[in-house]
Amino acid sequence: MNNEMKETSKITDKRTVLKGDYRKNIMLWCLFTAAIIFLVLDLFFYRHSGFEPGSLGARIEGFAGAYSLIGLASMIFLIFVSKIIKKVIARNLDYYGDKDV
Amino acid sequence: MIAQLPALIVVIPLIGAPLCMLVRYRDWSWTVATLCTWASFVCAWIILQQATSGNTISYQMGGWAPPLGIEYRIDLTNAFVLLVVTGIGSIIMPYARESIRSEFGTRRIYFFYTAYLLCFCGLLGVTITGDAFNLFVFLEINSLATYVLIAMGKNRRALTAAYQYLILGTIGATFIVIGIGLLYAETGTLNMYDLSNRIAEVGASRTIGAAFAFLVVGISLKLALFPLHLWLPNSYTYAPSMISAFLAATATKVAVYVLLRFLFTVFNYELTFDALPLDYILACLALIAMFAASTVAIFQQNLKRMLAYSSIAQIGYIVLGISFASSAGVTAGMVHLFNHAMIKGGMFLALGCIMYRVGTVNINKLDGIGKRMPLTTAALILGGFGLIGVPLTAGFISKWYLVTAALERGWWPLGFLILLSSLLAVIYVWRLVEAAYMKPVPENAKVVEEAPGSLLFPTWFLIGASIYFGIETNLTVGVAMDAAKQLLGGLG
Amino acid sequence: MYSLTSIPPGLFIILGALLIPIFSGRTRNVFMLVLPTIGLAGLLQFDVGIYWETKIFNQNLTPVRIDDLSLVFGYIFHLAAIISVIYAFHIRDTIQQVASLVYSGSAIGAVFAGDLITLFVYWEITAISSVFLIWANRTERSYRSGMRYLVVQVASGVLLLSGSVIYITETGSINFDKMSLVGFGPIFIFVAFGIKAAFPLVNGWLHDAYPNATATGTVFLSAFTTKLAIYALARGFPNADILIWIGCIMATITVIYALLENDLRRVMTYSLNTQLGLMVIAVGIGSNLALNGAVAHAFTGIVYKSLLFMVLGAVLVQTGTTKANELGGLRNSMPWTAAFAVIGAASISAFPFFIGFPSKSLILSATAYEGYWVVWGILLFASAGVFFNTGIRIPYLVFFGKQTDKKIVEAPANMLVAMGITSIICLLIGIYPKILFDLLPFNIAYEPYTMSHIITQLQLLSAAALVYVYANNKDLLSNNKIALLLDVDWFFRRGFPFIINYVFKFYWKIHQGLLSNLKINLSKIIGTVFKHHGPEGVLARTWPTGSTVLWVAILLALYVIVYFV
Repeated sequence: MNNEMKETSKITDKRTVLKGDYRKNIMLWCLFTAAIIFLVLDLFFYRHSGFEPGSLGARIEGFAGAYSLIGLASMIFLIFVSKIIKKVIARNLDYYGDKDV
Repeated sequence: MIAQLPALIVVIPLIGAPLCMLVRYRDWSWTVATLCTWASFVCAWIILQQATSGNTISYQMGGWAPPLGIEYRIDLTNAFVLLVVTGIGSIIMPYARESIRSEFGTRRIYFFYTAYLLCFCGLLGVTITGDAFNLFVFLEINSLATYVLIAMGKNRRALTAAYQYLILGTIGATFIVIGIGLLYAETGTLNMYDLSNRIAEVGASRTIGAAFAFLVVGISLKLALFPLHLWLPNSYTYAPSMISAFLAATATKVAVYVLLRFLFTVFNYELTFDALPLDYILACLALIAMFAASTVAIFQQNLKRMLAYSSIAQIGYIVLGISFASSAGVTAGMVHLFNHAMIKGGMFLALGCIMYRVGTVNINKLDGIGKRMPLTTAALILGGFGLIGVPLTAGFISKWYLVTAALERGWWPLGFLILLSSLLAVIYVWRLVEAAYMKPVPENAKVVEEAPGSLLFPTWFLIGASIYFGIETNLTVGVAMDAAKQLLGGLG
Repeated sequence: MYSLTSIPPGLFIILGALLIPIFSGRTRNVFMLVLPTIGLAGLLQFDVGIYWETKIFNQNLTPVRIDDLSLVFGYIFHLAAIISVIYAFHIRDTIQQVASLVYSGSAIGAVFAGDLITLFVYWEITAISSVFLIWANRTERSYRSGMRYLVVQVASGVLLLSGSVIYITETGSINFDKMSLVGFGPIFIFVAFGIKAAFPLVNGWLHDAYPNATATGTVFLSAFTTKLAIYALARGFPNADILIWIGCIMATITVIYALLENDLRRVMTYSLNTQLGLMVIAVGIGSNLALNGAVAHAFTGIVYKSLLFMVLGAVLVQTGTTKANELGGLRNSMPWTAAFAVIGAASISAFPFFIGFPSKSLILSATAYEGYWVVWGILLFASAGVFFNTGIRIPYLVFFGKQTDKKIVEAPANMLVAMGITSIICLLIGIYPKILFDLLPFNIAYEPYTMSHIITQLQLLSAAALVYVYANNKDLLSNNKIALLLDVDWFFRRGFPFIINYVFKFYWKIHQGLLSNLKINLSKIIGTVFKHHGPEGVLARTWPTGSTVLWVAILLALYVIVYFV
């Protein structure tokens, strides 16, 4: 009986995990599709740039999917930088003492 | 009649003084004194009106033409000071009756009013006269009467305080008379305007330099400029309340006037500020006064003494303004002269009310006084706000012009020091607030009620004036500006 | 409606707020709601112009100056006050109630102040009244935090005053208009504004104090102080180049902090600071379009920030915490709040058809028109980062993530109403941005909803979301060690005390070293000040005829020597 219970709990655990993973992956794929769609849309619509034609800014902004790339790159950058910075600025929660929180 | 006003304003209290002796009976002598002060006030008011029209009034005593005769010469500056002196002198008269009766007793009260009128007359004389020696004479009349008045305080230490002031005051007066004597030796005249012309002709000689040094030191003693302030705390502390208020509001102010007169009218600008670095010396002394005296004030237990030290600090502000040697600086000094007279006069009167009811002004014994005497305490605290320079009080106007003048002179660090020293005032006023409102009334405290109307009214009148002049500045700033321009003769 | 225009806007609410203690119970709440409503009605009656010009201290004061720039802020401040009052409808705390309305009123007054002195007065009232919203928590923590807040805010006021005095003496003009950033006066004023606008290095108070205020207090706080500073910058220093770079630093650093923080209210203050950075950049660019963008963003910022702070406040009230690691899965127990949170998140991330979109487009376009491509890149980084930190993270962690077992119920009705109204505004202006654009100070034809704006924004957001979900799946974002983040407030809490302590100890060592030979009592050293200044001190000695005479001699000698040398 003991064994049985253990097994059932194991199964439920596995299920939730699977379920969670499944959801997460669905979410990921949906977003991926959306991102691709917007990227593709970019090719079909005329994009008016705010920068003066021919300027450096216009060239950066001009190519299709520039915003996707910037979003992707900057967020990856953000995660890595934050990992580094955390090492510098993180302190124990009671750093300022119990009273002086 | 109007032409005789300059003489009348001095003569009325001078005649009133012996009259008080003659009538003897206490209410009558009070009536005489009141009438005299008020009459002088009316005269001063009319004189100011004449002076603001731009004319310098010259009155020849007994018809003797200057420079031989004694001339009373009134421009905006002394008209302004006259108004302050007579104004304060008459406002506190209704207060005097009750307050003096309780602090001095009823016996021989006519002596008090006699001395008071003489003191009053001396101050007016010093202010109005255009003759250097006559100035000395009136200064002595005023000083002698002041010694008597201080000695009339309830506490026996008043006697020692008066004695001490007598010694120091006499030294000051001696210095002044030596200075005047040296001037006379060099120029052969005593009339101030004549003097100024002749000094300009003679130029900077050694005698004149020595005369200048003696005069400045003597006057500094009279106006209690640090470090010559040592007579002041005791005198103010032990004198009767109403006299403390009167002296704080007028005596030092008249001394400031004398300083202004000698610096800017008698000695010319070049001599004062070019040959001598007087601006730096005065500014240094004034700064030390502002900080040292305010710090001492923080530690005082006796509130009258605290206010006395605060007065020394405030005199520092006035002298600081003068030391800028510019029109803006002198304006600031004169504005503060007026405003401080209102504020400090009102505060001393409020303390007098507390003295009248509680019998002490020791801060340790005044816990919760704000609940027991709400009106008086409110007046005291409002006055304190003025000392700090909270906006919408007269003190703010003074500091505003002072800081502006400091910036104009290019001494902008002084601007910060002025604001910084105001913080010291915050501390000692905060002590008042704390004692009055934060602390509970002690269990065994005796029951006291609000001060009577005759005491409250003059107190609130002065405090109210200090608020009023914090908002409406035409009279103070306008007159002070014109007076400063007149004094500097277009300089600065 | 003559009577409504007979009291200056702002002052009306302040004076009314002082009457709050007269009422009690429900009447009081209704009164509090009526006050800003009438204030807003009154403001609508005012025409552009200058009112109550008075001469005081020989200066022309302009207590009320109504023009296009101040009007927008006036409207949104009134609106924010109304919403916040509804949100705080259940509060029964006189001090908090009075303080919140005095604070709102003074912020409104400050916006309409036409001269520096009036501005200073209101500026200080906002500082002093707002601190009570922090203290209202009545904990040691909030007290200390409020104290630090007050010190910084008052310092800002003092700087403003000193700067103004210098400025007025130098130029003779007391009016609060555009200044050039030259000389002490304008620089002091600039720094004073900068403190309230939470510039880098002086922004510690924001992240320190706001999360420590009450649930309702933070909603008030988030709306006024910083936006007032943005207004002041837009009025005083438009086109100051330095602002662009300050704004860039503000926007980037705070994004990183927000990602690392665990307390969600603090995450919000960081993202608030990021948004302020965007506005500061826009003010620095200073073209008409950019200024419109700054104003519009301040307007929309107030709306969606209030909404998100209200959501977090509701969560705080219902669960007692806003710590990310203690929350999760509240969507079932607080469905309405969850919905509002999603709307708020979409707005702050500038999803098309939500309120954040039109204003952010304005700023982006203005940056591009002026050719600042680096700044433009930073703006995109910050926008994506805000979406990352606030747009996804807050709703996900609070309402979706793991479920918590606590028995939690939906927020009180008044909170829901306030959040509902704000959400409606979010959608309304998001869909019809013309409502907002008509209010802006400069008349510029600008169409936010072009296909190109929408697509590029969606590209950016979808890419950021992709990274978030991927990183979350790979467990790259988990805060396995919840930590306290050092910020500028460290200087107040550790730095200055440390330095003072160090200096004091150093001094003490020298002192002891010098005096140990002399065997002087320690108590005597401590009493030095008292010795000189105390009642029996040298400087307060009372029977000093001799010493005075000595001084007389010294002074006389001084004068004579100086004169003859």
